[in-house]
Amino acid sequence: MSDGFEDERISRTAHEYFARLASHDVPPSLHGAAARATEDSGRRRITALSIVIATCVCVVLVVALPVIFLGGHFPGEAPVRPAPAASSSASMSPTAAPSVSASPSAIVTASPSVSTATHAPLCLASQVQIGYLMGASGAAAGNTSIVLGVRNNGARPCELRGWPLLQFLASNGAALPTRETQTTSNFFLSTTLQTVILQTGTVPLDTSQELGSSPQVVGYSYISIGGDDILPPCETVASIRVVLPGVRTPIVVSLRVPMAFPAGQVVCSAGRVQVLPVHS
Amino acid sequence: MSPTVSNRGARGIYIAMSVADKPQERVADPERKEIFERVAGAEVAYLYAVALTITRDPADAEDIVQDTVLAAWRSWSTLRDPSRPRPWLTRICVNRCLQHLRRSGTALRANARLDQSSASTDVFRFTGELLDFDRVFTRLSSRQRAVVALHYFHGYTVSECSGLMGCRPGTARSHLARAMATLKQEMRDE
Repeated sequence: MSDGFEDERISRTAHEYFARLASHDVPPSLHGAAARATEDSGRRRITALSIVIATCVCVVLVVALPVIFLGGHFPGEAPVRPAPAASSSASMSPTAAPSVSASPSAIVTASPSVSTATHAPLCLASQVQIGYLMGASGAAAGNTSIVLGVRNNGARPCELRGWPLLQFLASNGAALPTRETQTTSNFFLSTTLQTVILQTGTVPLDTSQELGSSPQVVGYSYISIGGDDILPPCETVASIRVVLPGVRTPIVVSLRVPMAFPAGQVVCSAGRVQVLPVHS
Repeated sequence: MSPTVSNRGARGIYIAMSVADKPQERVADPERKEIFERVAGAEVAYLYAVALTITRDPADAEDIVQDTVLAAWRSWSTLRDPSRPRPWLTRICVNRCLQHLRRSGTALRANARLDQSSASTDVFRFTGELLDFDRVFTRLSSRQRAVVALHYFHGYTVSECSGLMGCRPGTARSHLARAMATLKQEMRDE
């Protein structure tokens, strides 16, 4: 067998072999690895600080204890007794409900600093439903807003954190140009990167609901997409393929609304859109 | 603006930068975290593929990626161009892979462990020529494995491979040549 032929065979086999290895699913534990790294780092800083404080306390005790036990207090002064512990039962009680869980379908939004207390498993594509919220979407001064509602259809709460990946689709399913900028504010809305815990949804997605206009809409969280409907080239987007953060399986969401937008939504600027992280 | 990468023989890579030029350090902490989470989060799947093609073990690759992301966050301020994080992250990941293979004794010992546990083989279900390739690949040294995976699958040139592995281009070329010779010879015999 000639060397050239053999080289080519090895190269082809190598490619096939590595492609098989690389096609292995990314473990779910890695989906939030970046967020965990920043939190772990903060915890390490706290641990280091705790060690410093503990060392200081030890030094103080070593100095103070001999003074106390050798009669270091003033004559007539009563030895200091530790005050009874403050009534911490309310806050320590395991039955104390967090204030944010008043409604069974409420979305609990935890800031990163407290998110460890309210972690839930990452959402799976099979347990969430995404729908186009026409009432919450709109247009103003050449800017358009597309808002999608995310609802937990599963039996257990689940967690979302980060930006979704989007792909606009034409009516025949073909991919349209999509230039997604992940940001925290667009023309219509500002938000922050937050951990959203989707409680099990009891309220069906209602595409006519206004964002925040009704207590019913607290049953789901949102994906907000800002774009424009003026600057060409423009496309009519019939549906959006959405990959939620930490979720591998895409979900296709129709933007067609009979009587209002039967063909879908117009997105201009060659598909340039500003996408906010999943928010409550 | 990309980081200036210098090779320092086999001791690894350092990123040459001036103390005054650290744009990331001027960014407020929450914003810095947010940028990191977005940028690194988007690269996790790629890093996992790199680690998996070098180590060939899903559990090891998972650990390495976790480790890489943590290390990247700790030295995030040294990244001068956050819009091009992939080469920087890949470099950390490849170094972690090589360290990991070295730490597990030698690549050969690690491979013996892999051979003993059929779990990994079952995951990928290699047959025929791929199984032959797998047997030979897992007997290569850690650096040979890295250069073969980076060059033949991830599309890096030999010179780029040397930058990622922290060695001279000639050394990388030599590792690749030896790996290819072993692969040819062993696959002919298999």
